[in-house]
Amino acid sequence: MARSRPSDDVYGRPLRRLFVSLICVVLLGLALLWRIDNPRAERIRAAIVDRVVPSFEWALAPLTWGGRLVEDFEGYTRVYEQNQELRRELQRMKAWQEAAIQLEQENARLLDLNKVQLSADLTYVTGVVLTDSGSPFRRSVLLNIGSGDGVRDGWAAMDGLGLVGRISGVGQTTSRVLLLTDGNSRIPVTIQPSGLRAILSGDTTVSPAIDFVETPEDVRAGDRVVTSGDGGVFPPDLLIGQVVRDRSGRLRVRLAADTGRLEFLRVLRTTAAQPIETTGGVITPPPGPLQGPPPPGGGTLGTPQPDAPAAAEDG
Amino acid sequence: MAPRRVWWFRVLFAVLAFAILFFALLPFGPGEGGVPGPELTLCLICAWVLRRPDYVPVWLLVPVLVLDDALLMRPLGLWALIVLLVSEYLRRRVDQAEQLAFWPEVGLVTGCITVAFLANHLALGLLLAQTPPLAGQALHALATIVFYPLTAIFSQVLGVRRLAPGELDTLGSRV
Repeated sequence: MARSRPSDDVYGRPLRRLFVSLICVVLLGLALLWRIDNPRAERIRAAIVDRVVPSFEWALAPLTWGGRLVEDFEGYTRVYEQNQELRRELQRMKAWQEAAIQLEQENARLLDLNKVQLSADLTYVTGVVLTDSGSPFRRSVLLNIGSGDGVRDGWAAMDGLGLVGRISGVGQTTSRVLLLTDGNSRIPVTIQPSGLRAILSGDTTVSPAIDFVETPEDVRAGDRVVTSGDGGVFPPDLLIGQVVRDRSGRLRVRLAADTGRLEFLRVLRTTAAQPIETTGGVITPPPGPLQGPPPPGGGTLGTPQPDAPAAAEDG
Repeated sequence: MAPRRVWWFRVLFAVLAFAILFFALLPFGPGEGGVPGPELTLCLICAWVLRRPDYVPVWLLVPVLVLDDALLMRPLGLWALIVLLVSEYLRRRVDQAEQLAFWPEVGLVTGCITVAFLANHLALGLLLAQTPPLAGQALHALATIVFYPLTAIFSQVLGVRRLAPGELDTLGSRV
Protein backbone atom coordinates (compact mmCIF):
# COMPACT_ATOMS: atom_id res chain seq x y z
CA MET A 1 0.00 0.00 0.00
CA ALA A 2 2.92 2.28 0.61
CA ARG A 3 3.08 3.48 -2.93
CA SER A 4 4.01 7.03 -3.56
CA ARG A 5 1.79 8.61 -6.11
CA PRO A 6 3.75 10.96 -8.33
CA SER A 7 0.66 11.83 -10.37
CA ASP A 8 -0.98 13.10 -7.24
CA ASP A 9 1.91 15.47 -6.54
CA VAL A 10 2.21 16.69 -10.09
CA TYR A 11 -1.47 17.42 -10.72
CA GLY A 12 -3.11 17.28 -7.30
CA ARG A 13 -1.25 20.08 -5.59
CA PRO A 14 -1.57 22.80 -8.20
CA LEU A 15 -5.21 21.84 -8.70
CA ARG A 16 -5.85 22.01 -4.98
CA ARG A 17 -4.10 25.35 -4.75
CA LEU A 18 -6.22 26.66 -7.62
CA PHE A 19 -9.35 25.41 -5.89
CA VAL A 20 -8.46 27.09 -2.60
CA SER A 21 -7.58 30.39 -4.29
CA LEU A 22 -10.86 30.27 -6.16
CA ILE A 23 -12.79 29.81 -2.92
CA CYS A 24 -10.83 32.69 -1.38
CA VAL A 25 -11.77 34.94 -4.28
CA VAL A 26 -15.42 33.93 -3.96
CA LEU A 27 -15.42 34.65 -0.21
CA LEU A 28 -13.71 37.98 -0.77
CA GLY A 29 -16.35 38.79 -3.37
CA LEU A 30 -19.04 37.89 -0.87
CA ALA A 31 -17.51 40.20 1.74
CA LEU A 32 -17.30 43.02 -0.81
CA LEU A 33 -20.89 42.39 -1.86
CA TRP A 34 -21.89 42.60 1.78
CA ARG A 35 -20.17 45.96 2.02
CA ILE A 36 -21.19 47.45 -1.31
CA ASP A 37 -24.71 46.15 -1.81
CA ASN A 38 -25.66 45.62 1.79
CA PRO A 39 -29.45 45.29 1.35
CA ARG A 40 -29.00 42.50 -1.20
CA ALA A 41 -26.48 40.68 1.02
CA GLU A 42 -28.82 41.01 3.99
CA ARG A 43 -31.63 39.57 1.87
CA ILE A 44 -29.40 36.58 1.09
CA ARG A 45 -28.74 36.25 4.80
CA ALA A 46 -32.44 36.48 5.64
CA ALA A 47 -33.15 33.77 3.08
CA ILE A 48 -30.49 31.48 4.61
CA VAL A 49 -31.82 32.09 8.12
CA ASP A 50 -35.33 31.48 6.90
CA ARG A 51 -34.29 28.11 5.50
CA VAL A 52 -32.10 26.95 8.37
CA VAL A 53 -33.56 28.13 11.65
CA PRO A 54 -37.15 26.85 11.41
CA SER A 55 -35.75 23.40 10.59
CA PHE A 56 -34.36 23.06 14.09
CA GLU A 57 -37.02 25.02 15.93
CA TRP A 58 -38.19 21.75 17.49
CA ALA A 59 -34.82 21.42 19.23
CA LEU A 60 -34.54 25.07 20.21
CA ALA A 61 -37.77 25.26 22.16
CA PRO A 62 -37.19 22.53 24.79
CA LEU A 63 -33.56 23.56 25.34
CA THR A 64 -34.56 27.17 25.81
CA TRP A 65 -37.23 26.06 28.23
CA GLY A 66 -34.70 23.96 30.16
CA GLY A 67 -32.23 26.81 30.31
CA ARG A 68 -34.86 29.18 31.63
CA LEU A 69 -35.79 26.57 34.22
CA VAL A 70 -32.19 26.46 35.45
CA GLU A 71 -32.08 30.25 35.58
CA ASP A 72 -35.28 30.25 37.59
CA PHE A 73 -33.93 27.58 39.87
CA GLU A 74 -30.98 29.80 40.71
CA GLY A 75 -33.46 32.38 41.91
CA TYR A 76 -35.21 29.73 43.95
CA THR A 77 -32.84 30.14 46.88
CA ARG A 78 -34.26 33.48 47.94
CA VAL A 79 -37.82 32.55 47.23
CA TYR A 80 -39.12 33.68 50.62
CA GLU A 81 -37.78 37.22 50.36
CA GLN A 82 -39.03 37.37 46.80
CA ASN A 83 -42.45 36.31 47.90
CA GLN A 84 -42.58 39.06 50.52
CA GLU A 85 -41.34 41.57 48.01
CA LEU A 86 -43.96 40.52 45.49
CA ARG A 87 -46.73 40.81 48.07
CA ARG A 88 -45.71 44.36 48.90
CA GLU A 89 -45.48 45.21 45.25
CA LEU A 90 -48.89 43.71 44.63
CA GLN A 91 -50.36 45.92 47.32
CA ARG A 92 -48.91 48.99 45.68
CA MET A 93 -50.01 47.84 42.27
CA LYS A 94 -53.59 47.36 43.41
CA ALA A 95 -53.76 51.03 44.29
CA TRP A 96 -52.40 51.87 40.87
CA GLN A 97 -54.80 49.51 39.20
CA GLU A 98 -57.68 51.26 40.88
CA ALA A 99 -56.38 54.62 39.70
CA ALA A 100 -55.88 53.28 36.21
CA ILE A 101 -59.40 51.91 35.96
CA GLN A 102 -60.86 55.22 37.09
CA LEU A 103 -58.72 57.11 34.62
CA GLU A 104 -59.68 54.72 31.85
CA GLN A 105 -63.35 55.29 32.54
CA GLU A 106 -62.86 59.02 32.63
CA ASN A 107 -60.89 58.86 29.43
CA ALA A 108 -63.63 56.83 27.75
CA ARG A 109 -66.22 59.37 28.83
CA LEU A 110 -64.15 62.28 27.55
CA LEU A 111 -63.45 60.53 24.27
CA ASP A 112 -67.13 59.87 23.92
CA LEU A 113 -67.89 63.55 24.54
CA ASN A 114 -65.42 64.56 21.88
CA LYS A 115 -66.44 61.84 19.43
CA VAL A 116 -62.76 61.05 18.93
CA GLN A 117 -61.92 58.21 16.63
CA LEU A 118 -58.80 56.31 17.67
CA SER A 119 -56.37 55.23 15.00
CA ALA A 120 -56.97 51.65 14.03
CA ASP A 121 -53.47 51.43 12.61
CA LEU A 122 -51.78 50.52 15.87
CA THR A 123 -52.57 46.84 15.97
CA TYR A 124 -49.89 44.27 16.51
CA VAL A 125 -48.67 40.79 15.63
CA THR A 126 -47.13 38.76 18.42
CA GLY A 127 -44.13 36.53 17.77
CA VAL A 128 -42.04 34.12 19.80
CA VAL A 129 -38.30 34.68 20.11
CA LEU A 130 -36.51 31.81 18.37
CA THR A 131 -32.83 32.59 18.64
CA ASP A 132 -30.27 35.11 19.72
CA SER A 133 -27.78 36.79 17.46
CA GLY A 134 -25.28 34.31 18.89
CA SER A 135 -22.38 36.70 18.51
CA PRO A 136 -20.99 38.72 21.41
CA PHE A 137 -21.08 42.02 19.52
CA ARG A 138 -24.50 41.88 17.95
CA ARG A 139 -27.77 42.41 19.75
CA SER A 140 -30.67 41.00 17.84
CA VAL A 141 -33.25 38.26 18.13
CA LEU A 142 -35.08 36.18 15.58
CA LEU A 143 -38.88 35.99 15.68
CA ASN A 144 -41.03 33.21 14.26
CA ILE A 145 -43.19 35.57 12.22
CA GLY A 146 -42.25 36.87 8.81
CA SER A 147 -43.54 38.41 5.64
CA GLY A 148 -46.13 35.64 5.51
CA ASP A 149 -47.72 37.25 8.58
CA GLY A 150 -47.49 40.68 7.03
CA VAL A 151 -44.40 41.82 8.93
CA ARG A 152 -42.41 44.48 7.15
CA ASP A 153 -39.01 46.04 7.62
CA GLY A 154 -38.82 48.94 10.04
CA TRP A 155 -41.77 48.10 12.24
CA ALA A 156 -41.38 48.57 15.98
CA ALA A 157 -41.13 45.59 18.33
CA MET A 158 -42.13 45.87 21.99
CA ASP A 159 -42.35 43.53 24.90
CA GLY A 160 -45.31 44.14 27.22
CA LEU A 161 -43.85 47.36 28.56
CA GLY A 162 -41.41 49.17 26.37
CA LEU A 163 -39.79 49.36 22.98
CA VAL A 164 -37.28 46.60 22.29
CA GLY A 165 -36.13 47.31 18.77
CA ARG A 166 -37.14 47.36 15.16
CA ILE A 167 -37.58 44.78 12.47
CA SER A 168 -34.55 44.63 10.23
CA GLY A 169 -34.59 41.73 7.83
CA VAL A 170 -37.70 39.73 7.02
CA GLY A 171 -37.90 36.23 5.64
CA GLN A 172 -40.97 34.25 4.71
CA THR A 173 -41.43 32.76 8.19
CA THR A 174 -38.81 34.54 10.31
CA SER A 175 -37.84 38.12 10.96
CA ARG A 176 -34.96 39.69 12.80
CA VAL A 177 -35.38 42.37 15.46
CA LEU A 178 -32.43 44.70 15.82
CA LEU A 179 -32.43 45.54 19.53
CA LEU A 180 -31.98 49.10 20.77
CA THR A 181 -28.71 47.99 22.39
CA ASP A 182 -27.10 46.91 19.10
CA GLY A 183 -24.27 49.06 17.81
CA ASN A 184 -26.18 49.79 14.61
CA SER A 185 -29.39 50.97 16.24
CA ARG A 186 -30.31 54.67 16.00
CA ILE A 187 -33.76 55.82 17.09
CA PRO A 188 -35.12 59.38 17.25
CA VAL A 189 -36.48 60.02 20.74
CA THR A 190 -38.05 62.71 22.88
CA ILE A 191 -37.06 63.20 26.50
CA GLN A 192 -40.33 63.69 28.22
CA PRO A 193 -40.77 66.64 30.59
CA SER A 194 -38.34 68.88 28.73
CA GLY A 195 -39.50 67.80 25.28
CA LEU A 196 -35.94 67.74 23.97
CA ARG A 197 -35.26 65.75 20.81
CA ALA A 198 -32.32 63.36 20.71
CA ILE A 199 -31.01 60.22 19.06
CA LEU A 200 -30.80 56.97 21.00
CA SER A 201 -27.75 55.09 19.78
CA GLY A 202 -26.92 51.58 20.90
CA ASP A 203 -23.33 50.60 21.66
CA THR A 204 -23.70 46.90 22.64
CA THR A 205 -23.85 47.82 26.32
CA VAL A 206 -27.00 47.19 28.35
CA SER A 207 -28.11 50.82 28.31
CA PRO A 208 -27.92 52.70 25.01
CA ALA A 209 -26.57 56.25 24.95
CA ILE A 210 -28.43 59.48 24.17
CA ASP A 211 -26.71 61.58 21.55
CA PHE A 212 -27.29 65.01 20.06
CA VAL A 213 -29.14 66.59 22.96
CA GLU A 214 -29.27 70.31 22.44
CA THR A 215 -29.11 71.31 26.10
CA PRO A 216 -27.95 68.35 28.17
CA GLU A 217 -28.26 70.36 31.37
CA ASP A 218 -32.06 70.29 31.00
CA VAL A 219 -32.06 66.50 31.17
CA ARG A 220 -32.22 64.83 34.54
CA ALA A 221 -31.80 61.26 35.58
CA GLY A 222 -35.21 59.64 35.80
CA ASP A 223 -36.75 61.53 32.88
CA ARG A 224 -38.93 59.42 30.61
CA VAL A 225 -37.69 58.68 27.11
CA VAL A 226 -40.22 57.94 24.38
CA THR A 227 -39.97 57.65 20.62
CA SER A 228 -40.49 60.93 18.85
CA GLY A 229 -41.74 59.61 15.54
CA ASP A 230 -39.38 61.91 13.67
CA GLY A 231 -38.67 60.80 10.16
CA GLY A 232 -41.88 58.84 10.02
CA VAL A 233 -40.11 55.56 10.75
CA PHE A 234 -41.62 54.82 14.13
CA PRO A 235 -44.96 55.55 15.68
CA PRO A 236 -44.46 58.35 18.23
CA ASP A 237 -44.82 58.08 22.01
CA LEU A 238 -43.74 54.48 22.55
CA LEU A 239 -42.12 54.13 25.97
CA ILE A 240 -38.41 53.35 25.85
CA GLY A 241 -37.14 53.87 29.39
CA GLN A 242 -35.62 56.30 31.85
CA VAL A 243 -32.59 58.53 31.66
CA VAL A 244 -29.59 57.57 33.77
CA ARG A 245 -26.11 59.03 33.93
CA ASP A 246 -23.17 56.66 33.72
CA ARG A 247 -19.92 57.09 35.61
CA SER A 248 -18.42 59.36 33.00
CA GLY A 249 -21.49 61.59 33.10
CA ARG A 250 -22.83 60.48 29.74
CA LEU A 251 -26.59 60.29 29.34
CA ARG A 252 -27.92 56.80 28.88
CA VAL A 253 -31.29 55.09 28.96
CA ARG A 254 -32.27 52.26 31.23
CA LEU A 255 -34.70 50.34 29.07
CA ALA A 256 -38.17 49.64 30.35
CA ALA A 257 -38.20 46.40 28.38
CA ASP A 258 -36.40 43.44 29.90
CA THR A 259 -33.95 42.74 27.09
CA GLY A 260 -32.26 40.03 29.10
CA ARG A 261 -35.26 37.74 28.88
CA LEU A 262 -37.26 38.22 25.76
CA GLU A 263 -39.87 35.56 25.07
CA PHE A 264 -42.77 37.17 23.23
CA LEU A 265 -42.56 40.36 21.24
CA ARG A 266 -45.31 42.53 19.82
CA VAL A 267 -44.62 43.88 16.40
CA LEU A 268 -46.66 47.03 15.83
CA ARG A 269 -48.27 47.32 12.42
CA THR A 270 -47.50 50.79 11.26
CA THR A 271 -48.39 52.14 7.90
CA ALA A 272 -45.74 54.32 6.38
CA ALA A 273 -46.53 58.01 6.58
CA GLN A 274 -47.77 59.30 3.25
CA PRO A 275 -45.19 61.65 1.82
CA ILE A 276 -46.57 64.99 0.68
CA GLU A 277 -45.11 65.45 -2.76
CA THR A 278 -46.79 68.52 -4.20
CA THR A 279 -47.34 71.96 -2.73
CA GLY A 280 -51.06 71.69 -3.46
CA GLY A 281 -53.01 73.27 -6.26
CA VAL A 282 -54.26 76.86 -6.17
CA ILE A 283 -57.88 77.02 -5.05
CA THR A 284 -59.63 79.29 -7.48
CA PRO A 285 -63.14 80.71 -7.25
CA PRO A 286 -65.65 79.13 -9.62
CA PRO A 287 -65.66 80.80 -13.04
CA GLY A 288 -68.11 83.67 -13.22
CA PRO A 289 -70.69 84.20 -15.93
CA LEU A 290 -69.33 84.87 -19.35
CA GLN A 291 -69.08 88.52 -20.13
CA GLY A 292 -68.56 90.31 -23.38
CA PRO A 293 -69.35 89.08 -26.82
CA PRO A 294 -69.69 85.31 -27.29
CA PRO A 295 -66.62 83.62 -28.80
CA PRO A 296 -66.74 83.00 -32.49
CA GLY A 297 -67.93 79.58 -33.60
CA GLY A 298 -71.42 78.55 -32.56
CA GLY A 299 -70.46 75.07 -31.24
CA THR A 300 -68.88 76.26 -27.99
CA LEU A 301 -71.74 78.51 -27.04
CA GLY A 302 -73.57 75.83 -25.16
CA THR A 303 -70.88 75.15 -22.56
CA PRO A 304 -70.91 78.23 -20.31
CA GLN A 305 -74.60 78.04 -19.92
CA PRO A 306 -74.88 75.55 -17.03
CA ASP A 307 -72.64 77.84 -14.92
CA ALA A 308 -74.83 80.81 -15.35
CA PRO A 309 -77.65 79.91 -12.91
CA ALA A 310 -75.11 78.89 -10.19
CA ALA A 311 -73.28 82.17 -10.51
CA ALA A 312 -76.53 83.99 -10.36
CA GLU A 313 -77.37 82.32 -7.05
CA ASP A 314 -73.98 83.31 -5.61
CA GLY A 315 -74.57 86.92 -6.48
CA MET B 1 -11.15 6.14 -1.69
CA ALA B 2 -10.93 7.31 1.87
CA PRO B 3 -11.96 4.61 4.34
CA ARG B 4 -15.07 4.80 6.40
CA ARG B 5 -13.25 6.09 9.47
CA VAL B 6 -12.35 9.35 7.76
CA TRP B 7 -15.94 9.94 6.69
CA TRP B 8 -17.08 9.20 10.19
CA PHE B 9 -14.80 11.92 11.56
CA ARG B 10 -15.85 14.36 8.86
CA VAL B 11 -19.46 13.89 9.87
CA LEU B 12 -18.44 14.27 13.51
CA PHE B 13 -16.76 17.57 12.69
CA ALA B 14 -19.89 18.86 10.96
CA VAL B 15 -22.03 17.79 13.91
CA LEU B 16 -19.71 19.49 16.42
CA ALA B 17 -19.62 22.71 14.42
CA PHE B 18 -23.39 22.68 14.15
CA ALA B 19 -23.76 22.04 17.88
CA ILE B 20 -21.52 25.04 18.66
CA LEU B 21 -23.62 27.21 16.37
CA PHE B 22 -26.82 25.88 17.89
CA PHE B 23 -25.80 26.66 21.45
CA ALA B 24 -24.59 30.10 20.45
CA LEU B 25 -28.05 30.80 19.03
CA LEU B 26 -30.07 29.76 22.08
CA PRO B 27 -31.88 32.84 23.36
CA PHE B 28 -30.54 33.08 26.89
CA GLY B 29 -30.46 36.83 26.97
CA PRO B 30 -28.35 38.44 24.28
CA GLY B 31 -25.11 38.03 26.24
CA GLU B 32 -25.28 41.32 28.02
CA GLY B 33 -22.20 42.68 29.67
CA GLY B 34 -19.72 40.16 30.95
CA VAL B 35 -16.94 38.50 28.99
CA PRO B 36 -17.71 37.47 25.42
CA GLY B 37 -17.43 33.72 24.96
CA PRO B 38 -14.73 32.01 22.92
CA GLU B 39 -14.91 31.44 19.18
CA LEU B 40 -15.01 27.67 19.55
CA THR B 41 -15.35 26.86 15.86
CA LEU B 42 -11.97 28.45 15.20
CA CYS B 43 -10.39 26.44 18.06
CA LEU B 44 -11.89 23.24 16.73
CA ILE B 45 -10.68 23.87 13.19
CA CYS B 46 -7.12 24.68 14.33
CA ALA B 47 -6.95 21.61 16.55
CA TRP B 48 -8.23 19.24 13.88
CA VAL B 49 -6.17 20.68 11.03
CA LEU B 50 -2.99 20.36 13.08
CA ARG B 51 -3.80 16.73 13.93
CA ARG B 52 -5.52 15.24 10.93
CA PRO B 53 -5.85 17.65 7.99
CA ASP B 54 -7.72 15.00 6.01
CA TYR B 55 -10.61 15.11 8.49
CA VAL B 56 -11.37 18.75 7.70
CA PRO B 57 -11.11 19.22 3.94
CA VAL B 58 -11.67 22.66 2.49
CA TRP B 59 -15.00 21.71 0.91
CA LEU B 60 -16.31 20.85 4.38
CA LEU B 61 -14.88 23.94 6.09
CA VAL B 62 -16.28 26.53 3.72
CA PRO B 63 -20.02 25.73 3.99
CA VAL B 64 -19.74 25.49 7.79
CA LEU B 65 -17.97 28.85 7.99
CA VAL B 66 -20.34 30.62 5.60
CA LEU B 67 -23.35 29.26 7.50
CA ASP B 68 -21.81 30.53 10.75
CA ASP B 69 -21.29 33.95 9.20
CA ALA B 70 -24.86 34.12 7.96
CA LEU B 71 -26.54 33.00 11.17
CA LEU B 72 -24.32 34.88 13.61
CA MET B 73 -24.89 38.22 11.88
CA ARG B 74 -21.24 38.69 10.98
CA PRO B 75 -20.13 40.33 7.73
CA LEU B 76 -20.79 37.65 5.13
CA GLY B 77 -17.67 35.84 4.00
CA LEU B 78 -15.01 37.88 5.79
CA TRP B 79 -14.48 35.73 8.86
CA ALA B 80 -14.87 32.61 6.72
CA LEU B 81 -12.06 33.84 4.47
CA ILE B 82 -9.76 34.61 7.41
CA VAL B 83 -10.35 31.24 9.07
CA LEU B 84 -9.83 29.46 5.76
CA LEU B 85 -6.48 31.20 5.30
CA VAL B 86 -5.45 30.33 8.86
CA SER B 87 -6.38 26.70 8.29
CA GLU B 88 -4.39 26.62 5.04
CA TYR B 89 -1.37 28.07 6.80
CA LEU B 90 -1.60 25.45 9.56
CA ARG B 91 -2.10 22.69 6.97
CA ARG B 92 1.17 23.68 5.36
CA ARG B 93 2.91 23.66 8.74
CA VAL B 94 1.74 20.10 9.28
CA ASP B 95 3.53 19.00 6.12
CA GLN B 96 6.80 20.53 7.25
CA ALA B 97 7.12 20.01 10.97
CA GLU B 98 5.99 16.64 12.14
CA GLN B 99 5.29 16.03 15.79
CA LEU B 100 4.98 19.52 17.10
CA ALA B 101 4.95 19.30 20.91
CA PHE B 102 1.84 20.43 22.71
CA TRP B 103 2.90 23.81 24.08
CA PRO B 104 4.70 25.00 20.95
CA GLU B 105 1.52 24.04 19.11
CA VAL B 106 -0.54 26.17 21.52
CA GLY B 107 1.89 29.01 20.96
CA LEU B 108 1.56 28.70 17.18
CA VAL B 109 -2.23 28.68 17.35
CA THR B 110 -2.22 31.62 19.77
CA GLY B 111 -0.30 33.59 17.17
CA CYS B 112 -2.73 32.53 14.46
CA ILE B 113 -5.79 33.49 16.50
CA THR B 114 -4.32 36.90 17.33
CA VAL B 115 -3.50 37.54 13.67
CA ALA B 116 -6.99 36.39 12.65
CA PHE B 117 -8.71 38.82 15.01
CA LEU B 118 -6.39 41.67 14.05
CA ALA B 119 -6.98 40.96 10.36
CA ASN B 120 -10.73 40.93 10.93
CA HIS B 121 -10.62 44.28 12.72
CA LEU B 122 -8.33 45.77 10.12
CA ALA B 123 -10.46 44.53 7.22
CA LEU B 124 -13.61 45.97 8.79
CA GLY B 125 -11.76 49.24 9.29
CA LEU B 126 -10.61 49.26 5.66
CA LEU B 127 -14.14 48.50 4.47
CA LEU B 128 -15.31 51.45 6.61
CA ALA B 129 -17.78 49.11 8.28
CA GLN B 130 -18.88 49.50 11.84
CA THR B 131 -16.34 47.71 14.05
CA PRO B 132 -17.17 46.15 17.42
CA PRO B 133 -15.46 47.73 20.44
CA LEU B 134 -11.74 46.94 20.49
CA ALA B 135 -11.62 45.94 24.16
CA GLY B 136 -14.49 43.52 23.71
CA GLN B 137 -12.81 41.97 20.70
CA ALA B 138 -9.54 41.60 22.59
CA LEU B 139 -11.41 39.76 25.34
CA HIS B 140 -13.08 37.60 22.70
CA ALA B 141 -9.69 36.68 21.24
CA LEU B 142 -8.29 36.02 24.71
CA ALA B 143 -11.18 33.71 25.56
CA THR B 144 -10.57 31.86 22.30
CA ILE B 145 -6.87 31.46 23.11
CA VAL B 146 -7.65 30.22 26.62
CA PHE B 147 -10.09 27.65 25.27
CA TYR B 148 -7.74 26.32 22.61
CA PRO B 149 -5.80 23.84 24.82
CA LEU B 150 -9.09 22.46 26.15
CA THR B 151 -10.41 22.01 22.62
CA ALA B 152 -7.17 20.31 21.59
CA ILE B 153 -7.37 17.89 24.52
CA PHE B 154 -11.04 17.27 23.76
CA SER B 155 -10.20 16.46 20.14
CA GLN B 156 -7.42 14.14 21.27
CA VAL B 157 -9.89 12.33 23.50
CA LEU B 158 -12.31 11.98 20.58
CA GLY B 159 -9.60 10.14 18.71
CA VAL B 160 -8.28 12.89 16.44
CA ARG B 161 -4.60 12.04 16.87
CA ARG B 162 -1.59 12.84 14.83
CA LEU B 163 -0.26 9.91 12.82
CA ALA B 164 2.94 8.44 14.13
CA PRO B 165 5.83 8.47 11.65
CA GLY B 166 5.67 5.42 9.43
CA GLU B 167 1.92 5.08 9.70
CA LEU B 168 -0.04 5.30 6.51
CA ASP B 169 -2.38 8.16 5.98
CA THR B 170 -5.81 7.62 4.54
CA LEU B 171 -4.69 7.99 0.98
CA GLY B 172 -2.19 5.20 1.42
CA SER B 173 0.96 7.27 1.04
CA ARG B 174 3.65 7.44 3.66
CA VAL B 175 3.54 10.50 5.87
